[in-house]
Amino acid sequence: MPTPTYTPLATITLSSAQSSVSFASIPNTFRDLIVVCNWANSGTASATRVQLNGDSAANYFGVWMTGTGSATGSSAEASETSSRAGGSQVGPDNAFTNIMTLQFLDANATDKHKTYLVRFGSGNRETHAVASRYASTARIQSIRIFDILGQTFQTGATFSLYGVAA
Amino acid sequence: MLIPLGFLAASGAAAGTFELIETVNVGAGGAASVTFSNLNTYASSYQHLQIRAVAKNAAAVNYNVLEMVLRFNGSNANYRSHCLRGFSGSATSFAPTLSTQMLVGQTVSNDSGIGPTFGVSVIDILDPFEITKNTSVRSLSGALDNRSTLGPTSQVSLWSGAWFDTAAVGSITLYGAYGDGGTLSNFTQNSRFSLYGIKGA
Repeated sequence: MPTPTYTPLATITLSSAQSSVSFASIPNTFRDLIVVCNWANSGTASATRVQLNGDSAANYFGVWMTGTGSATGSSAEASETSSRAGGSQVGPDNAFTNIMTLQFLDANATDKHKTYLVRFGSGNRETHAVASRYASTARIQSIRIFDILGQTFQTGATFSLYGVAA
Repeated sequence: MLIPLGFLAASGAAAGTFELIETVNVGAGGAASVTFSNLNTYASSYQHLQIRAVAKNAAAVNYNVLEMVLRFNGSNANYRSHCLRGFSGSATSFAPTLSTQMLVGQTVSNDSGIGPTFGVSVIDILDPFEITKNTSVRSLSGALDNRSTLGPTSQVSLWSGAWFDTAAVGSITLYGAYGDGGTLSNFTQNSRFSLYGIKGA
């Protein structure tokens, strides 16, 4: 019997600028987690990153590709203290043109590293896709999104967490 | 209903719009393939389908990131695939000449030392039950090896595929693969494949 899923778990709408947003105490009742984001940055020199479970050790690996309209690119990083998410060549914009989805499959598995997918787009700047690996078999209990170059997410930004059963 | 790649609208799905149909968890010994069958029974319920996959390839080849392919209705003909993918240092496009199955994403191989890593894919199958259309597929996939500096085959990829057949989709079979999708291989234990239905208006 099919089971309705894709359950909204939390939505954060900023009433003031924030340097980061976090989803904490994520329940272990869903196999996958999806985060959907729409925001403006305080400036244009920015790079959005993700940390899981409050882990700031060198446990993050990623590979990405990007296009700006005038250039394409791809690169990788290893043993970082967070994973790349929003943009790589020019980064998110300071207007509400930044959208991003993060797909954490088997987020609650304790027999796997966490490999997850990111699609980021800034209609004004670049489109971008990332595959990341969090080198831990711990289940995902918290997700933190922040800008590593010190920008803030502006008032009105929305970040929504969904759980998907499997 | 427009489906942004791999997810529903940011406002969240209406209750019952996105439904889990079936999950296959690969057990000890692995699996030569994974099949979702009797899908014709859902033709009146869903407009689109989505597969969410976490997969490891059992192939013993000297690469760390391999492939995953699918077939509809057991057919081994009339497929085309295209890919845009990013490795370390280059973004490239790729279109295999393969027509016997459709390439839809990456898996991690079962090489020794690969560790507890798996490839992940979100595969959208659009209008699978429309008998006036060929079946189109899009996928976002990624797989990273377990090396401390990441090997050259770790990648993120966007796939598009078409099955040039207007038959309604009655079954979907997924296989591990390598050699640009031309050689089929098994999935290992703890791989997982979940099928979802997405309702139309």
